[in-house]
Amino acid sequence: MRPWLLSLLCVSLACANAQAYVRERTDPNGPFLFRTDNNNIQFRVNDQTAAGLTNSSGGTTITADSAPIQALQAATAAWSSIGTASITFAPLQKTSVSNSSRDFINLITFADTPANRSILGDALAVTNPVGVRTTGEMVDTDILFNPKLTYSTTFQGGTYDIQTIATHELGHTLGADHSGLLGATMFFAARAASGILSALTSDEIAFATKVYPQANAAASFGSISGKITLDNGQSATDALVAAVNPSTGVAVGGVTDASGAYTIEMIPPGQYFVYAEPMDGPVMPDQFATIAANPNTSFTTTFLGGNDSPQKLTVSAGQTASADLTVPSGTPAMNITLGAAATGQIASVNGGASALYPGQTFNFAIAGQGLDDPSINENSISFLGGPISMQGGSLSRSRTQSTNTPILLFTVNVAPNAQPGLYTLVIHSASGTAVYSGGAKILPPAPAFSAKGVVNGASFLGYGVTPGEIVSIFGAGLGPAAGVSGGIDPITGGLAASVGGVTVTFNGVPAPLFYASQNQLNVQVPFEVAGQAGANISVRYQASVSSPPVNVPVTSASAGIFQLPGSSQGVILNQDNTVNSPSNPAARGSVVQVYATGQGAVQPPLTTGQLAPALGPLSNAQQTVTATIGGQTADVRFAGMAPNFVGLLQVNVAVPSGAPQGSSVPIMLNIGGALSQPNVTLAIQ
Amino acid sequence: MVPRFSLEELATGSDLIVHGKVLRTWTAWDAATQIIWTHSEVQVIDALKGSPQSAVVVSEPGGSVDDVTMAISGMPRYQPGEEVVLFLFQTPVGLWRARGLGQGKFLVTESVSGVRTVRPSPNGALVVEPIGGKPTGGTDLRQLRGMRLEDFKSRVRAAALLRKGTN
Repeated sequence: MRPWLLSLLCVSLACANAQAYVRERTDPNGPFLFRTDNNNIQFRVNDQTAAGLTNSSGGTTITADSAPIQALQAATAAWSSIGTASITFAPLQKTSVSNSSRDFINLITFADTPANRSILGDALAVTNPVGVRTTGEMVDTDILFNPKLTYSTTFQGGTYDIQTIATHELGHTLGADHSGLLGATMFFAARAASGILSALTSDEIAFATKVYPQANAAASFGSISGKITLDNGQSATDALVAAVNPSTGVAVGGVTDASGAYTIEMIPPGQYFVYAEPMDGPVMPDQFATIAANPNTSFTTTFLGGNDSPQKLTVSAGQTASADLTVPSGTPAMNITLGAAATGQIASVNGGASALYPGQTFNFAIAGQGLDDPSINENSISFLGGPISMQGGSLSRSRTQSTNTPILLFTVNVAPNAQPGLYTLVIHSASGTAVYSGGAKILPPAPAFSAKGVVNGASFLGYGVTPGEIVSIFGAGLGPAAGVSGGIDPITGGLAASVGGVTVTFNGVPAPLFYASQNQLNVQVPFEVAGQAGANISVRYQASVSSPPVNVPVTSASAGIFQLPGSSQGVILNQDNTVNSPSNPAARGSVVQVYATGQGAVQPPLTTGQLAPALGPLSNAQQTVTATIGGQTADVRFAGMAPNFVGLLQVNVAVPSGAPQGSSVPIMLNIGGALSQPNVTLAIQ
Repeated sequence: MVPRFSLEELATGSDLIVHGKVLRTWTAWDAATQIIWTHSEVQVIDALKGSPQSAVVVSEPGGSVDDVTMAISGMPRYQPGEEVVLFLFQTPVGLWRARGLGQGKFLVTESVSGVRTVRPSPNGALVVEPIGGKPTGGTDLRQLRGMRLEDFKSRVRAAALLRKGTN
C-alpha cells in the first residue's frame, strides 16, 4: 500500500546581547522573551482572510489568485520542522477577532480596522508579543499584516509574499529578534515578490535549538566564544560576529556585548571562519528591539587569523572553541550595503541577500562605500572558498543612478553540488576588508516535475487530471526529505491543502495533500478544474516555486484501482468488510467493495478536500461505472464516494456466480469510458 | 517590515515635519488600540511642514507597563535630549508616528567644531523594495548622512512642496 493510503484508509541594550542570533527581551536589560506553549502553539486566523480580500478603500489586500491560509500553514510548518527544536504549531484555526489585544488569542489578521492601521503605520507587518515583564514569558502574540498593501502567494510583482513575511514574523512570536546575517529569515531586509526568507537558515535553527531544545539535541552542537577588542584598547561594543562554514553553508551570527564579548551557540561541528564587522550598515542597531544605538563602528572587518590569511576554527560537539580578535581601529574604508543577483541583467541593487541555485550562473552586484578602490580586482573578491566562484574576466564597475554609490558587477558560478545555506562575500583591497555577511543564499533546487509525472494516484498511469481525482506527482525537490502525511484542516474541516511546507495549486486553487515528500506528492485535484481544458499545476516548497507551472489536460474521468504494495491484489473489502486476499477470498455471488479514484463529478457535489459524508445521501459518481471480474461483466451496485474519505471512490461490485476461482482473478473498472489498469486482481473462492 | 522611502516620498507623505528636541518619554496602554505605546514629547524648534503646537507627542507601538511588556521589533526609539527632524503622520486613532518606522526619524548631531549635521536613523523593519513595479526614484535616505542641518531642512522644505504621489 502506498504510504499515504495507510492514512487515507485509517484515516537590548548593548550590555547584554552576547548571544548567537539575537533574542528579544522584555526591556534592554530584561529577561529574554520565550513561550511555554512551544509544543502546541495555536494561532487563529481572522476569518476575513481569503483570496480576493479588499480593504476599506476597495484596494486589494490579498490577490484573487492567492492561497493565503496555505501560505500561513506553510510558514508554521517551516518552524515546526526543525528537528533539533521542540516547536510545534497546531493547525491554524479561524476566529472572528480582528484586532490585536491582550486576549490570549494568538492572532493573524489582515483586517482593515483603525486600530490595526494605527499600529502598522507604514509597516508591511508587525508582530505584537505580549510578555510578562519579570519573566519574559509571552502569553499572547499577534501578527498584523497591513491592509493598505497588497499580498500574494504568486510572487506577483509589486506584491509581498505572505509565506515569506509570515515565516519572519513567526520567528518574532518565538522570541527571535532580527539577525545580522543578510540571508537569514530573521534579517530585517528582503525583496518583494521573493520567497527567499521562507527558507529557514542555520541561524534560525541555532536560535530554535537553544531556546526550545529537543532532548539531547544541544549535545550535538558546539560553541564559539571570545572577545573583540580594538587595537587601541577599546571594546568592540555591539559588533556583529559571525561563524561561517563555506563547506556546508552553515552560518550563525551574533552581537557582542558592551565589553566586546560574545558567544555563538548551537553550531554544528566543523571548520569555521570567524569574523567581526562593525554595525554600520546594512545592519544597524535600531533594527533590533533591545540593542542600544551606540555601537563602536570605528574598526575594520577582521577575520580570525588575520585578513591576509584567515584561519578556520574547529568546532566540536559539546565543546566551546575560543576566538578572540583584535581589530584595527579607525573608520572602515569599505562598507558593502547593497547587493543583487540575477541570471539576467541586474536592474537595481537593494538590501538583503540574493538567492542562488546549484549548478547555475548568476550576475552579481554589490554596492557601497569604498568599492571604487582601484586596487580591487577579481582576485580581491571571494566567497571564502565556498561553492560560489568568480568567473574570470567578468568584473566591471558602475555607480547607482541616484546616489552615485560605487558598484562592482561580476559573474559567479555555483557548483552543482553546492549545499543550500548562507555564504559570505569578502573583498580584500589595499584599503581594507569588507564582507557581505550571508549575502548569498543558496536555495535547494526549485520543485521540478513534468506533465508525465502527474499520474492517477491508484494506477500511477495516465496523462491528465480529473476533477476530484487523487493524483500522484513525481519529481524532485517537491517537499521534505522525510515524507509527511496530511491531516484535517480545522478551518475547512477537510483535508489540509498545505503539508510539511508544501502547497500545490491547480489553476490557482489549492489542492488538498495526502502526502508530501521529496520526490512524490499525493493530492486531490480540485473540483474547480471541471470544464476547463487544462490545469496549470504549481508546487511551492519553502522559498521556491516550480517554474513555470506544468500544464496538464483536464479529463472528465480517469480510472485507477488502488493496489497493495508490491502486489497485483486490489484494495478490496469482502462483503463482511474484511480485507480480500488469497487467504480471505470473496465468495461468488457476494458483493465486494473496490477502492479507486478518478470518477470526476459527483452528485450531490462535494467541495474540494471535503470528507464524503457518512450520513445522509451518499455522493454518487456522475459517470457510468461498469466492472468486469475474470472477464465477466459484474453488476455494479454502488459507485460513489467512500464515506469519511477524500477523493476515494468506492465501487460495490457483485462477484458473478460464474466468475473464475483463484487467488488472482483480474478485475477492471470502466469509468465513463476510462479503463482501470489491467493488472489488478482479487481472490475468489 | 516596511517599504523603503525616498526623501521625497517621506516629505510628501507626511502630515507634519518638525525639527525638535525630545523632552521626555513614557509608556501607557491605549484604549483604542488595546496595546502599549511609547510616547515621546518633542519640543518643536522649527516646523518644516504643517502647523504644530509648541510640542508634539510622537507615539510608537510597544513598551512596558507594570508587569506587561510588548517588544515590537523595528520601532524607532527616542531618548530625552535627542535633537531630531521627524517626518510624521497621524494614525486613524489620532496618534502621531514617524513615517516608514525609523525612516522618518533623523538625528541631529554636532561635531566638535560646531557643525550640525543629520543622520538617518535606519529602522529595524524588514525593508522591501518591490520588483517589477514602478521605480520610485528619489533621494536615498542613506545619502543624507552627514548633510548640514540647514541644508537638509532646505531640501526637506523643497521636497514637501512636491505633489503627493499615489504610492
